[in-house]
Amino acid sequence: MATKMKKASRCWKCGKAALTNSTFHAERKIGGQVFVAKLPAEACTTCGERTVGGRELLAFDAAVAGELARNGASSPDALQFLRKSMALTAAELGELLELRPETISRIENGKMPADRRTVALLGGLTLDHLAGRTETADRLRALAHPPKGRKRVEVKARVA
Amino acid sequence: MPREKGPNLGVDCRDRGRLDKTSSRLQVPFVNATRARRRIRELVRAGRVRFTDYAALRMLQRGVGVAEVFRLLASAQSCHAQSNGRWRLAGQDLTVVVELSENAIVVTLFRGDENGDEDEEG
Repeated sequence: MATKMKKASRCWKCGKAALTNSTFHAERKIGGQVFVAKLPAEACTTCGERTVGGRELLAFDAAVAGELARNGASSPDALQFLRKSMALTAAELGELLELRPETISRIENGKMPADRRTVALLGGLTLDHLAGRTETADRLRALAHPPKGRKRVEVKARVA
Repeated sequence: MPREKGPNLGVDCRDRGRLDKTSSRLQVPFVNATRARRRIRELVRAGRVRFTDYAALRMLQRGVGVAEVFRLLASAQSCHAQSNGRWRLAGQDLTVVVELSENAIVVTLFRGDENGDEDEEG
């Protein structure tokens, strides 16, 4: 039986199938801290063009966001990075935290300090996001728009 | 020079893929903005997005989140063809220049208030 041959990847720039494994040194400076990582990349031996995968960069950002959220980082840069790591707009985050987008902007520009609850909630949202959960966001949405009309609710009782 | 908007660049569609003789774009058939957007969305879903060294460095330096770029690629407000065959996707405050090959290659990116024409390399 003939097996399907995997097509060799080509360099996007020169079109030659001459890609080798390489390393990309990622570095982010946030709130006075520098986060670094070595990410796998591909380099063309003909033209020297190097590319790094979006997944690898996403994983790097997720690792940085996790570190910031766990350590309770509250600098304006850190809070902005946490929001962006979840791809939330200021308006979307403001809706969850019951803050106006302008207030989020002021906090992220360092014109207004973030209170501990905001930092805690943003950290919780980030850690949930990294774990693929939406519990904190769901609870915040339920607080903003409480479900109504259900007088009898069936729950599952689990014995530990 | 005023920036050209939309896929109509006054170039014959059949010649669009041959503009850059040194590029692997020669193998990519001409697509319009709608098809390019669809193709980019497919590549995002398939995890086939790559960043050039230059774009990755710019992104990290300028404090742009990777998730932000992915969100823009998946749902850009506008998508315009550039004269060099690349696609310029713009969101609220971020613009990303993408080249379509077997992957979506992010060539450069910049905030809305920056001049992308001076920023592009290659």
